[in-house]
Amino acid sequence: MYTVKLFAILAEQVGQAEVQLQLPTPITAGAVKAAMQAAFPQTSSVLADCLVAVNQTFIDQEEFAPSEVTELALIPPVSGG
Amino acid sequence: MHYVAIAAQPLDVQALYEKLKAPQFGGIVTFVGTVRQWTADVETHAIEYTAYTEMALKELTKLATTIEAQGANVVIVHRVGHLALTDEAVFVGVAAAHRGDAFKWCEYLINAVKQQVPIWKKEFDTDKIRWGGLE
Repeated sequence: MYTVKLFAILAEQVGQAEVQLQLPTPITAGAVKAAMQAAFPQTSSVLADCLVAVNQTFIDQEEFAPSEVTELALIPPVSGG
Repeated sequence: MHYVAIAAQPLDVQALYEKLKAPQFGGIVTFVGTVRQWTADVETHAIEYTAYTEMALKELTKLATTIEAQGANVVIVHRVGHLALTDEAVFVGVAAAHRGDAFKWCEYLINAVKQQVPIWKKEFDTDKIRWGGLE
C-alpha cells in the first residue's frame, strides 16, 4: 500500500488529507489516478484534471520503481495568485 | 540571493521590497495580488489559500533560480490561510539592471506561479463556495 497525499477539493471530497492505495508496478500517473478512482469514485470528475507528483515533482509519462518513490501526491488544478 | 516563502501571516510588502534593493539593480518591478470583491457578477467576501508547502517551495525556488541565473534578484511570497477583501495574497518582485527585464520577468513569474505552483484558493462567494481552477 502507498500513501497518497490529497489537497484542496480532493481532500474535501474524501474527507482525508491522505489515502492508502494499492498500486501496480511500475508506478505511473495513470496508475495512481486509476487506483484513486476505483477506491473513491466520488473524485472522478476532479481526478480527470489532476496531476500526479512523485517526490514533490510533477510527473507525466514516467515510470517509477517502488524503491524510487518516497512521496506521492495528487494535485488538483492549481489556483494561486 | 532570491527569497521565496509560503506565509501564514500577512505579507509585509515594504519589507519584501527592501530585500530587492542593491547597487547593481536600476529597476525593481513588484506585483501584489490582492483579494478582489467582484469577478463579473460574482461577489467574493473571503478566500482561503492552502498549499502543498514543501513542493510549492521547490517550485518557487526553481522559478526564482531560473531568473536569478540571468542576473536578477527575485522575491516571491504566497499567503496561506483565511484572507479578507484587499488582503495581499501574493508578492512577486524582480530587481534587474534595467526596467525592461524587470517588467518582463515579473510578469513571467506571476503567470508561472498561477500555472504550476501547488497552491489552491477556496473562494467564499455570496452565492456559494468555489474552488479556483475548477470553474
